[in-house]
Amino acid sequence: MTERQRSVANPEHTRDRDDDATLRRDGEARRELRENSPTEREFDATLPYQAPGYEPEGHPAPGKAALYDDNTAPGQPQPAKATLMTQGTQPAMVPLQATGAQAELERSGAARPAQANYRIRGGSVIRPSETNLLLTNLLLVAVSILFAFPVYWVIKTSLQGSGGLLSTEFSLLPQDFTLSNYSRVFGDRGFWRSLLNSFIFAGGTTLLSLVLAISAAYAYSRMRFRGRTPTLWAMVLLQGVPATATIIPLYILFVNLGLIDTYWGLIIAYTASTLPFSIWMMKSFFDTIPKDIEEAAQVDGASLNEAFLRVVLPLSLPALAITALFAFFTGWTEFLLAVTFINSEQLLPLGVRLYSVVGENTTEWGFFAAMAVVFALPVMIIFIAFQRYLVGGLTVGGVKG
Amino acid sequence: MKYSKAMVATSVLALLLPLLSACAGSPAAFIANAEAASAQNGSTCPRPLVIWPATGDNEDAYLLDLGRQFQQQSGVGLELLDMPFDDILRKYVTAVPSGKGPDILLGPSDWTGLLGEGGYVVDLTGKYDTGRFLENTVEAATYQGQLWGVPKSFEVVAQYYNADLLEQPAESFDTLKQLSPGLAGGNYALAYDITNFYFSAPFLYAVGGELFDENGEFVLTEEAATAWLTELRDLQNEAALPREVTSESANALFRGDNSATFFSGPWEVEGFRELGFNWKVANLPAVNGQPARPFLGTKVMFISSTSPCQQAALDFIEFSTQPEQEVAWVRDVNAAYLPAARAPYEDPVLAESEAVQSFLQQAETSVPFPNAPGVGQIWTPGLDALTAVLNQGADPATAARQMVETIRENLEVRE
Amino acid sequence: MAIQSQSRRGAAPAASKAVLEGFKGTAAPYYYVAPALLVMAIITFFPIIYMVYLSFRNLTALNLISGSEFVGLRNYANVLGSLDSTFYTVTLRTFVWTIINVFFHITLGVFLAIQLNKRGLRLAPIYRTLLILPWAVPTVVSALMWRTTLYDYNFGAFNQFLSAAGLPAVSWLQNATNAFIAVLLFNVWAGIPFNMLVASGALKSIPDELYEAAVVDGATPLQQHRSITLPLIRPTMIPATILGIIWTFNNLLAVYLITQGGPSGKTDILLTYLYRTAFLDNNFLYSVASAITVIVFFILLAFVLLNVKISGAMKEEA
Repeated sequence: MTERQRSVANPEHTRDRDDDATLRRDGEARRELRENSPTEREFDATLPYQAPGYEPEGHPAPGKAALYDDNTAPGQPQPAKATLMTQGTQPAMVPLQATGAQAELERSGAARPAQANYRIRGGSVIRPSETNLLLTNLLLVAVSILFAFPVYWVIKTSLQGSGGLLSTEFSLLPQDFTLSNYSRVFGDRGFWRSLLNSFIFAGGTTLLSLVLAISAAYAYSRMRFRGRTPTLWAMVLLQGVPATATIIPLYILFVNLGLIDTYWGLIIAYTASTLPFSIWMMKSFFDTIPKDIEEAAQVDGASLNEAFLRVVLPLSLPALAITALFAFFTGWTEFLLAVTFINSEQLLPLGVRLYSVVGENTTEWGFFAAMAVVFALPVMIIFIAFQRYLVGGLTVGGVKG
Repeated sequence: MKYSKAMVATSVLALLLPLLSACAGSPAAFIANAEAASAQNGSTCPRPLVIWPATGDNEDAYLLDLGRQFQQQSGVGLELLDMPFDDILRKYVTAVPSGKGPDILLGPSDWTGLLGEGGYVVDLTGKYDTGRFLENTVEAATYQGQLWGVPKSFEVVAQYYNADLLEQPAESFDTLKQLSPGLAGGNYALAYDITNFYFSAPFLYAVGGELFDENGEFVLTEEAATAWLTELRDLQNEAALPREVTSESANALFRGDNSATFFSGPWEVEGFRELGFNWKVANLPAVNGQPARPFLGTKVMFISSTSPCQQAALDFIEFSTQPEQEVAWVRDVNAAYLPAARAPYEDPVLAESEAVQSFLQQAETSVPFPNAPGVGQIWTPGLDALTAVLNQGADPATAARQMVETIRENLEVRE
Repeated sequence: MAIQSQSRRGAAPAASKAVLEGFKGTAAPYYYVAPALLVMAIITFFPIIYMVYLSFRNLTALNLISGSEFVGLRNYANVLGSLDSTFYTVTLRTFVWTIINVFFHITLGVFLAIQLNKRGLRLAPIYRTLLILPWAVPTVVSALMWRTTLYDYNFGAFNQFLSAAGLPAVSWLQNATNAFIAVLLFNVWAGIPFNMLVASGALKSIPDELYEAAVVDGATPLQQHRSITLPLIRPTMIPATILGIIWTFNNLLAVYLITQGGPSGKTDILLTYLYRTAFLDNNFLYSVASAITVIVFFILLAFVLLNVKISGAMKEEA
């Protein structure tokens, strides 16, 4: 998992139904349904389309008797009945495909009165039977435990009595519960130094990244200039190239320039690695802001630069936040460049310090685990809180969701 | 336009300023500056000397102590930077060309060729009299005729044996093979880190193989390698050695009186002394009448070429290799520390130490560890070959061929 | 605070082609992009050129100070020359690594997303939070966690668990095959959540009515997935897969932190092999590593170009 995966919400990714792509998809799906459905059905056009199982008063739903319980095995002969015809029913199907949030609201309101009247009958994958749901819960419990287990284990280790090395017994709860590991971490001067270094690297990268990326992205979005397309291509292509691919010449360069073991060297290296993605993402975002806004501001007497600073930027806070977050993560958790370019213990960021603690023969894992928790906790909280914004669309490469 | 211009100006300045200052030097410039500064400083140094020692923790403390004594004498202090052994060389070759790095590096003689020819350390040819050191150790600090450092200590792998279990040390592989039936149940005749090339290589020389010749050329033949692997395999089988032994487990077996012999170096002495069992040191067993020839690993003190206090560094090196300091080291820190200087051996502390004398004796048939750059290429192929034959039952001839070819390929790439 | 653009959806096409006339002909664009491009020139563009330059020379730690010499294509010949050279083994291993990882990431991610998408799961938020933990933890921490607290021979949880169950302990990291599996296990664990989230997003956009219509038509769950779920998430998952391929291919951190490419370089993937050639084992073969990097670059470029084509990212710029 690389930092690239902390990708950003594509401003163009929406769930709107009035999206060409969605319409196309639905049309595709309709076609597929037609092709794949076992039999043809007839549709009673006198009734408005309803969800299966819905019985408006006095109108038994067509083919109600024919609805299957779950567990009908595929291939079993289907009882005859009147059901939905899926061909040539475009007009009648329109309500299903009604676009726009409003229509959806109406439709769902109309078609789904009180829950009590609405019973799930079919084996829909999204509304499965009770049994299925139970099994699913069990499965998810098991998988969740598996996924969370390593994280739990480290937290447990950090709370375990350090008394030297650990015993070889397997115990789920901390043996000899203690907070001493944490107090040792917080009492370690090296830890504080590394914490400070991490803040410097992360903060410096964030600041520099923001300043550089915003301006450049705005230019790419709003202006045309010579060299625009080739450099834009470079932004796209470089997103797939990891920093490690250029680490060797960069290393030689830094050695010759004396940038090894300096804050500045690593900060600009990090910034450069975040720029392709940040610029691309911000450019895509700016693209969705109509230029009328700046033109309106101009009419009000602002210069173009002012329009940018005072009008567009404030509108871009979400994208700014994401650029900042991404840059901060890079600076905080990046490992390889740090380990190659920083030799002196004074400048070690926290991630590298963690690694060096492990490297020694008599690792005291309580200590390591405590430091790991302190290092990871802020990052994890932010991730969990902002997960929706961090995923969503695949803007690396600028995919339109 | 104000915004854009202002922003550009600031960021460009902010970016370039550090770069400009960084452009102050290239490696060559740093070295030249350092020489000039050293000439100016003479025997003084505006800041404490910095040493990067590739040693254990006890010795770190003792080095600092030496530093304090030196400071009283000369006014120049000593600082020590500790780091994992695997990282030291990489950090050194990164730091020195950048103008950073220590004044003194205490490292194994394997590095002499690389550091010397690469320009990382100061050429001491003609500037320092090495007559008072053992010849083998001076050889280790010399590459292609130039003296690149001052030898500090050496170590050699020898045979430890449990005098309670054995009256005599094992003299040859055959002795070992005959031993095992006679030992009490559950005990091994021998347990050592057999797949580690460093510990098994002495027997390669015993069967007539040679790794590098005087010019640093790789001259190992497949026949020798095959013979060597075969002998070891036979030893493992016929002397009933334990399988898949690691150095920790071999150590544990010997300490626990569960194995009669153990091949290792002087660094074990301190640990064994504390346990107080009856151990002794002797030469390694011979193979088919030929003596085993372990590597003579020398620790050398190098002076960085970018140090501005080169004379002061040399003074400290001189000071730390005086008999008085060396003897104190043996007495207080490490009973099996083997100084490279000759004089300390006349002191009773060393003269009467059985361990020291035994190691010294083994050192007479030792092979100075080659110090050409690229010598580090032998370890992994050696390990692979040993593991294949001893742990996985591969055919010695195939493994030998694989090993020789791999080493040759790796060395070619480095030309 | 979702991204504001939703309501501007209709205006998007016009905006993306919006060029502010006011900037035409001025030097403003250059001022705006210069700093960013300058930094990238120093850290990215120039090093790439320098790397190609270095790959034709013989730079190692030995001649770093004194200067390297021109050796033409020798590095490439050494690296690519013989078919059983390490480079090909490592490349093969990297592809295997990538394919296995991405396969499990996508299939298990989609599977879990489908499970989570079922209505009526009251505990869904809890599941979701737990399931994204592997992704939320920084790789540095999680990889080291796995290496020390899980894989250690004596004290790791896995072996403790095995011995508690009466089974023999396994040497996870010393044995080449086990080590590869160990790193695979870790990376699969770490990569599923992201794909699960992506699939979840895609699943949410499938209207429920489609499923219900299918049920009425008598489709079984399997058929429902085949005809509705999979086709509809395909547009999202295909780019996700390609991205996953790129990221996994590049993921040297997982390998480096857990095995360092060991034992003896037997779990190296291309990027760790590259790093090892330059910085580990006291190799310091900078030029050879540069040659390898150039080759890797071409491979990566191919993937990225594929991604660009499939995602249509640059279509509007054409």
